[in-house]
Amino acid sequence: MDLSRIDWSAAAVELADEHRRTNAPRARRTLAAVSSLRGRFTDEFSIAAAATTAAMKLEPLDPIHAVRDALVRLRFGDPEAAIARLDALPEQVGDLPLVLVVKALAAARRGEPRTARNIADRALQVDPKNAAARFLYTETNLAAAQKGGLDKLAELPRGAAHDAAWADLLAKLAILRPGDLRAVNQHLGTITKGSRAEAVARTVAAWAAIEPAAAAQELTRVIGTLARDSRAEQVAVGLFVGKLGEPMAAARALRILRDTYPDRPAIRRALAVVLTRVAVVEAGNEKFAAALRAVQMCIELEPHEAVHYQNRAALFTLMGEHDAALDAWAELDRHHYRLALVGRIDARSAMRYAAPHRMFSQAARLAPFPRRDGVFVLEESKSGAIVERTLSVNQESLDKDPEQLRQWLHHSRAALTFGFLGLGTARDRVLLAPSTPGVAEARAEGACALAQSLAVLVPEEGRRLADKLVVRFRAAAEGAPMHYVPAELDADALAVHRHAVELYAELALICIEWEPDPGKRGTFDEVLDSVRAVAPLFDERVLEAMLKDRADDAPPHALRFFQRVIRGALEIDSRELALDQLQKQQLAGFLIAHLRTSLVQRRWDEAEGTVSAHELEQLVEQLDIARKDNARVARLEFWAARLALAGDYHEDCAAAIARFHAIVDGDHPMLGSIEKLQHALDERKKTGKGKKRDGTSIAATGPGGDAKDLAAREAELETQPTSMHLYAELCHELGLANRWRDAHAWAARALARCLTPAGQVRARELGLELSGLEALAAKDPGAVASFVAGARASALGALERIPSGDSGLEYVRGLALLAGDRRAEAQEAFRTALARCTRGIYMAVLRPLATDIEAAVLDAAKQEVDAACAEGRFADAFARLAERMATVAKPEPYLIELARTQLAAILPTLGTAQRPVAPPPIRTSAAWRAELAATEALDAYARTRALVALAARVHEPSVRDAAALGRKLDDLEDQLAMAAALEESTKRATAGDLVGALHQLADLGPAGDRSARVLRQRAIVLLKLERYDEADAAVHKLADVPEPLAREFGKRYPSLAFRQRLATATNLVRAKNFPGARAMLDAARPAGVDAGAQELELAYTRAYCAAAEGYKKGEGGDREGARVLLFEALRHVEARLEQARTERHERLLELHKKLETDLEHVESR
Amino acid sequence: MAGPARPRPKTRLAIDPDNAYSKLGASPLASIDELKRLLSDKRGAALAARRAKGQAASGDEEATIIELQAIEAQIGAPAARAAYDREHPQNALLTVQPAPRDRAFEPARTASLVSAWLVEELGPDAMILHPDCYWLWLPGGLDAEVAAQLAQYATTTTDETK
Repeated sequence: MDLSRIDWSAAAVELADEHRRTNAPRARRTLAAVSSLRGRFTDEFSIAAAATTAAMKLEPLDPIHAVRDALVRLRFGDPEAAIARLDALPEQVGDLPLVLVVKALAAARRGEPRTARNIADRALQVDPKNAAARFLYTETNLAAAQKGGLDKLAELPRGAAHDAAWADLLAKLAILRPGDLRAVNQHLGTITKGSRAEAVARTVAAWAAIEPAAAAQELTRVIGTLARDSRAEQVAVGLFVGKLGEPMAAARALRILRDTYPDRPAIRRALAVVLTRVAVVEAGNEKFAAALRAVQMCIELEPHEAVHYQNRAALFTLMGEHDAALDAWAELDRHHYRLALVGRIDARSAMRYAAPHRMFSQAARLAPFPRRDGVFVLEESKSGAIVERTLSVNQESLDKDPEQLRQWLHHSRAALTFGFLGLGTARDRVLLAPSTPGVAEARAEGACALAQSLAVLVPEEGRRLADKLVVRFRAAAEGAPMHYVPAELDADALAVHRHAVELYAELALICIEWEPDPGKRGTFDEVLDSVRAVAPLFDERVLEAMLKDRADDAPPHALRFFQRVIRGALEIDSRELALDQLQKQQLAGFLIAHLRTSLVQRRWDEAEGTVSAHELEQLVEQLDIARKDNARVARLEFWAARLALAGDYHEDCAAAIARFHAIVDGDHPMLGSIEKLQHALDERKKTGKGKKRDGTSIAATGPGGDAKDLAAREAELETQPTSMHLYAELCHELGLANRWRDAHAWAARALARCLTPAGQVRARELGLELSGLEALAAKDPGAVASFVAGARASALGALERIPSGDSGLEYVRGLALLAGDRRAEAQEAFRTALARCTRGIYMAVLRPLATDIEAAVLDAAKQEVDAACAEGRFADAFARLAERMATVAKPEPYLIELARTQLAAILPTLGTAQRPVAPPPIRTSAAWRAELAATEALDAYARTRALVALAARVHEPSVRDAAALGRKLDDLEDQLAMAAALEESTKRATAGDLVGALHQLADLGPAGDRSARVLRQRAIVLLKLERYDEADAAVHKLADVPEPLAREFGKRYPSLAFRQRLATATNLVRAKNFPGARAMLDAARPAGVDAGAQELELAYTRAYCAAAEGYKKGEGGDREGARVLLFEALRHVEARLEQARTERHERLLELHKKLETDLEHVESR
Repeated sequence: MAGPARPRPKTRLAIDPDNAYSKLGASPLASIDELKRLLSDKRGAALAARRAKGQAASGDEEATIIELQAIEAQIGAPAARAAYDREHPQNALLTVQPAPRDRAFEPARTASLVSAWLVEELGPDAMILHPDCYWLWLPGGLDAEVAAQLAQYATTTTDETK
């Protein structure tokens, strides 16, 4: 049977089906055999590995499946995994000859001939006649030694059955030990003459015999005779390249060969290998320029190979070409991100991508001694003979080169992101075993925020990769379970967690020690963003373990410092650190508040206390924001008091001093300073009352100022991070304040955070608009102010004075022209913008505008109409639509807007006597104008329906919206019918016509069954009618209605039903229907918050029922029966007597008294 | 036009000469066996020097031995080396590396290609030391029952087979 012609997939599926159906041992064995054999006949590793793994699960005791699994690993080039699989077999199985042969083969492929020989030797001890083991032993024995061992060849079996093995052995020997070619040629006679095996062996031996001087010429000749991409070609190229001499000579020969055979990938690959060897040699000789030339050629030959980009970047760095090196490393990152985007994101790849980021992060973190230009610096302090080295923030270096801090930040974040990526997708690994769903979610968001650095480091690919990772991290957090016992992390996950904690500790050092430059707000924001991103990843147990593991001579770190900060900030005295989620939030808030205070302090110090009143107020606002992050920072209150005093805000100053004392509660280094402030305040108070802070300054921000409302908006955005409206406002304000870089940064954040399709479009529009506005601001800031204020058309004058510019400027020009209703020119501007656009993300914004201006006009009209409707200006909305429909070439899309507006105009008039606003007569030349005109005579409902139908008929894209609008109308009409029915039902129920009330609710259809109000009314009426089962059914339906009313009534219903049952039972007792009353009481179940009181009422009613029945029997002369029943009543009453006394249930107490008296009377007779 | 740009500090990327590889005088790309051999040779030389000087030995030999011990702890074992390399990626990144396919041109790899060539020429039924050969997959031949089952799925061509 030709196994290569089996449809293995079909066989596996059908046999699996048979196994499932019959569950017979025979079916299982066959399925296992076919599954593991399938591993041999597929080129997909995932299929092969899954098939053999399935076989092992089916037949765990049959070692052949483990052997086949190992063979699969070998086929796909993973000898380590093959050996691991065979090592896992039980000892007695592991010694089977087949297992040992496969293991020896794997060891040989791993490049360990000695180990392979020893394993093959073991196989021969077990089965001395095993031919494969004998050949393998001989082969590995010869490969392990430089010479000798040829005598073993004579011991090998011969004959046609062994031709292939001989050919294999001799050809390999010819390659590995060219000095033994003579022996090889002698033994070639062992192989059957004229066989294909002999031909292969002789060919290889002949190639191996070629002298190096003739190698280039021979290779040229030989290659021409071999099939392209064949194994023979690969062997020939591999063999001859080794004979071409030193790398430079080999490269020359291969370049000539490549010119001869330009279509041979094997030659190209060999040339790239040899050129890389040239680069290695030249770099080793410090001839970096020559090495770079070779690497550049490699990139041209193999543009997909990351190592060439890495070599180029390394060479530029070694050459000291700073700018070129930065570009080259950026190019390597881009290449890595592209690989990740096409799916290469396994653990090993992630580690490779992280490596350059780690390098840059470390390079920026701490410069090697004696340089002092990193983010941190080692400070030495001597205490006697002991020199202590501590990590400190390198303020001087950061002021000189603030980009160092950004380098450290973003590369650390990127390295951490790839660390997470390398952990796979299993929740407990990728989110570091979160203890609760909340922690999982917070960690996922932290990881998402960290990933945004990829977009900073490599704008296009990084953005796309970050988007992809956001989805991945958030998916990991979905449905996270509770862990009541902390889960143990494996070594890799723990390493990532430690990295995160280490980064947080160093960020804490930055927050406490760094004095941020107020002129570089972007960097300050990036630090805050990083603190917020890393904070959810913090785990104090990891910190404690790291501190425990760190040796005394370990390089200085910030962990001990961080531990002190945690204890100080959270006022923890206990020996062990154990933080809850709230404390972790407070910690992050403390760090952020500290850093913000430092920003204020530096600005104040730099200005030497001479800031304007407006700026002073802005600084105080910054402290207010900081206080929201953490209200227990003493230093913050000191600065709040100091600035308030400077501004003559006596009350604020006094409040800040009071807060300081409340926080400090004892000794503090700033206590003396705060007392001085208090003294100064007291002195000031003697001369005047002081001022109040201007609360209106938030809205009064103009260009040129670092406005306080910006800080407020930033803070607001932290709480509403997906509000596009806020981003647009903030970016515009920043632009007006000439802080374009910050504006772009916020627009980029909007792009990263607003992930809905609409949010993405808006964010892209914002980014594009900002770029145009920045160009416009350079010429005319006033025009930007007008544009941003909404008067876009007024910027046209300024725009017309500016020559055509980049895509952003042309986009803004288009918007202004559109606002001025100059549609043709607007479209032309958008076309120019599209033609000049170099960034893919903006194409989605520009393409529709450039191709169809009418759509943009429609969008603008929709916005105006929406705004008018939102403010109740329906007449304006109709007027705008009428005007547009009269002027545009295609008025069809406006019909659905007309219908929507009509519906919006109906809603406010519901329940009133008002008539909805109607559209004015609309002049259009469309073919359907007569039908449109006919709608004018209809009432508002009918007109809306007619417009919906017309829109669906004449404008295909509106069909979906029309259907939705139609459904809305149906719903509205259902709602109106229901409201009328409910009103009537309530009226009838109040009048005592319960049957009539129920009847009103009968024909409301499925909508009635979904309405909480209807179901509630139905249940109440049914209860009153004492139709309890039907009432229960109505309430059961209510459970499916997601409305607060339904939930509220659902909770209240059991109590209502109980009381109604008691009332019914009481009526039945009065009617002397005692069995009926007892049945009703048995069905009554106390429930709800007043269950105790209900129990009491139930006991009373039971007692009342028994007593009434007893009295009736007594009246009928049945004294014994009466006695039994009165005692029963007494038992019910006495069981609740205490409660009745407490709750003053007079009826029960009275009944008790009466029963005692009557029973005494009965007993005495 | 975009958000914050990639950081471009003025400060050059510094090459740390104080790393374990440069102290040992080895390439960061060297195999673990090479590193072990180098460490052993250097330690042997330092011990010999100390023995030769006897009482006259200065502290230099001792310091060398202590430094070699520290280097061994950092990169002398595969796990320790992996951790060290992860923490100090600069060493490997700033070393010009051979192409990933370089090893494919080693004689041992070329030799192993001969087996694949023979399988291509003679078919998988031949007894060759190659994981594609049937004798490794079916050492006792194909079981009759399995063969009967598989016969139903024999086709003239199939995408999955090779």
